[in-house]
Amino acid sequence: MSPRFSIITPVYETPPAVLRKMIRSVLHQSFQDWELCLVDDCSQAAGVHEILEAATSEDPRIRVAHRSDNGGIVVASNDALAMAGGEFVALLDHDDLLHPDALAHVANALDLNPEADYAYTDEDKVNPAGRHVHPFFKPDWSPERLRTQMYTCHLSVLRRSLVEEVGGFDPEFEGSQDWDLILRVTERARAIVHVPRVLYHWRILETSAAAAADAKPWAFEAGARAVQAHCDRTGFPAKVEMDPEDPGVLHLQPRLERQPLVSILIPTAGQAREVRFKPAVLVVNCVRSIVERSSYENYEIVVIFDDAIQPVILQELRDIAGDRLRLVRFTGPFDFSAKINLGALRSEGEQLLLLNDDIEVTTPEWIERMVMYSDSHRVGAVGGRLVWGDTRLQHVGVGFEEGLPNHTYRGYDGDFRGYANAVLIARDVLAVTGACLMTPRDVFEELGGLTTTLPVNFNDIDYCLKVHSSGRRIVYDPDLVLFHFESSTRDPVVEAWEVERMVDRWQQVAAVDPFGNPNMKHGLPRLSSHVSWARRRRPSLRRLRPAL
Amino acid sequence: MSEQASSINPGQQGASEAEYGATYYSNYWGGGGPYERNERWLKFFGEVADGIIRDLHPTSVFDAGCAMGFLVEELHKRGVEAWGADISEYAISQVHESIAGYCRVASLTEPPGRRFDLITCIEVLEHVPPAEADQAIANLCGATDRLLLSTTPGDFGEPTHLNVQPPEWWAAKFAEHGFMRDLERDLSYLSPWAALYTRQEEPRAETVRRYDRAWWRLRREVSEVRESLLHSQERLAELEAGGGIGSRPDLLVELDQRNEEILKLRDLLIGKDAELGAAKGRAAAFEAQVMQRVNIKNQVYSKVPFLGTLSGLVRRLLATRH
Repeated sequence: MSPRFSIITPVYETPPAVLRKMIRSVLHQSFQDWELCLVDDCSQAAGVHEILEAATSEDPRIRVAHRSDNGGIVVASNDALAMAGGEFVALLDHDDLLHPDALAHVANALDLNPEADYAYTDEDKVNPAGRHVHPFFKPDWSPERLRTQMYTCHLSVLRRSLVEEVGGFDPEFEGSQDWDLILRVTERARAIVHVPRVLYHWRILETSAAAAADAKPWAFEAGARAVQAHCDRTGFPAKVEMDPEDPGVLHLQPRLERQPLVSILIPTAGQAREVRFKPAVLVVNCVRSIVERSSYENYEIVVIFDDAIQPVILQELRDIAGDRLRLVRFTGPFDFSAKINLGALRSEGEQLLLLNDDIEVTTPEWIERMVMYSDSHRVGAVGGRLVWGDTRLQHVGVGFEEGLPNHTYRGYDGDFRGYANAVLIARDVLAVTGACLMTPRDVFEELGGLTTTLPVNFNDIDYCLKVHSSGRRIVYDPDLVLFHFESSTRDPVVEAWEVERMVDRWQQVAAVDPFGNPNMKHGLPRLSSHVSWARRRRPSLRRLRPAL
Repeated sequence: MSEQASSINPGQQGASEAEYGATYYSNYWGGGGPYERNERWLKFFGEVADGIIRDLHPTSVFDAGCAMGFLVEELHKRGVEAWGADISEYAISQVHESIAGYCRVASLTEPPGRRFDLITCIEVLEHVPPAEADQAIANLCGATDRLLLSTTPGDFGEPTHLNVQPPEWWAAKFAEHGFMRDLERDLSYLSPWAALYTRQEEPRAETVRRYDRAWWRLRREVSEVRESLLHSQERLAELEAGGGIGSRPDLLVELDQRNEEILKLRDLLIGKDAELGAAKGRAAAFEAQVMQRVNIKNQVYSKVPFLGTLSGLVRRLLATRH
């Protein structure tokens, strides 16, 4: 009978102690139904052969193959794949370690999701001194994040039939062959599960990719090519570029095949505020920045104004925006939702772009960037990186803590990269701010627009949760940078009833943020997480799962 | 005079019978049905007579080319002495008996024979051959100081219109006799081209001033009309483009309101759905709590013998006390 898991591990010139520990970590698994497929890629180092021989004789579940020539990691991995007979294959590197309960937890998760074709877990690193460092607490399945960061990586467990269907590892992408494989698998996977536990320990060796970013530049380049190939396969309209200064960061540059009409909806009361120490009418500053900087051609600007606005402001807007401008008069008491809804009804764009009047555009391709995501399948809302006038972060996506929204990294320095580069990479999030949000018109109309039951606060969050619960995704784009001249010292007043209404509606959906992690708070590891992370390194499920 | 006139145009007298006989009047006149003594024509000339009396207060009127004398008749009804002459014997024969003595057959090439306070000449001069026009004008000008002229500037279609000329042509002709157009007078009740010519013994500068005043007024009028037309076009373009403040028709506003309501209803539906989900979640959590307690209770009861019986006894005791 074929085992549940086949652990595939190409071996090449592994230090003996490290190799032994790797094999021991497999042998110590609390979940017993596995096989270990080791492929020795023609190692010359002393001890490797002996250790492998000893291991096979120790446990019949350990199988070893020897290559007569050095084929490289892709060829060796494919050889190991060919040996595998299990329902799932788990990828384990020859110098890394599995948590004793790794397979047990993954098996549990797969049992709970029979449709799952791919499972991944959190991970940490083991430094040369043997200490566990840098735990990486990951979000649940985020296709957007995988496009700019190989975040799932270890431990990855894939359904073997699907791996064979997509043709295994591709030598074209050597160095990032696992990223490429997982992209191809997840393009077809029915369901993907995340086990939010640190179950894989990535050993930092001098030669390992974990040691230094510059160690393997060709690996980053292969990664960029793998993502580009993925974009081409799935029709995602982007060109992948590596950051010239930071090879680990990828940028997706929009290459749109079409330019749908975009209606930019700007509600305004014609307020003035200091912009770069000079008083300015916000809406005029905003519209001017759009007209002067946007490279997109097919857009209209819909300004929804109150009666209180000075006519001279409207005239100035007409002078700036000309034919692109559409003025919509709003009567009635202040109601952000109703204003946006009215503007949406009075406009014609295929894509709606909600914009606050205290925003200033800096990225010329800002509309293209949003259309790139919003025009693709199953995306319901797109937001960007908003910074205050002093370049501190205002918004990089909204996370949820105990069911309530929280602007992650609000007020952090503009250079802050975020936990695991979170600020610099595209991510799926549960909500983005309505200060700058693109959504397809059909989605907006299907979901009833912004809720008028929350006229002041949370209507954007509520909208995003509606988008999420309709099965669509919400995307944060890191390369869309806008200035937001909201007063950074003023916290918006949130009434108790508003919080109550949010909780009443979304308690079930927002109680657990799928793009957070139980070990994280405010976008960073909890203080207590280090304790639990350390404690959980000890096996606990051995008692629950008796040996077969 | 008659002899002389005939010698100028020998065929005229005879031609008039052929040209302006019964057939002419029943077919050609005005295009709005036959020209005969009916209510329509009497009403029209009644109004013209009213206008003439109101504006010009004539003491005596000569209607040159009076046809069947309707204007003469209407003026008489209003107490104004009026005479008429026409080249058509047939037309004169149709004149109403009340003014029979006042209308006669005569050509415009003959002078009217006496002076009148006002001469009217309505849609007649275009019928006079160009060669005789000068003589006719001279005759009319010789018999009055005020002349009400209406002659079509554009109706070339009718065969008897022998001399259709633009207004300035007639103005020049009358000016030769010292008659100037009265620029202030509005005679549109008669025809769009009707004009009152009066004998003006004025210096040229005065004439220029009068004409310039009228020209300036018209010029201003034109520019204002043009401006308002431009404005209307802009408004139209705005409406068509759907932009502008409050320029939408009511229907679109109503449509907006309906659409807004639809949005609200959809939002409400989704919101209620989410609330239901949240409530179900709370219920499930509560149920789990209850089940947990029940389990604990069962465990405790199963572990401590007779606890069930004991608690039953206590309960019964309490019940009897009450």
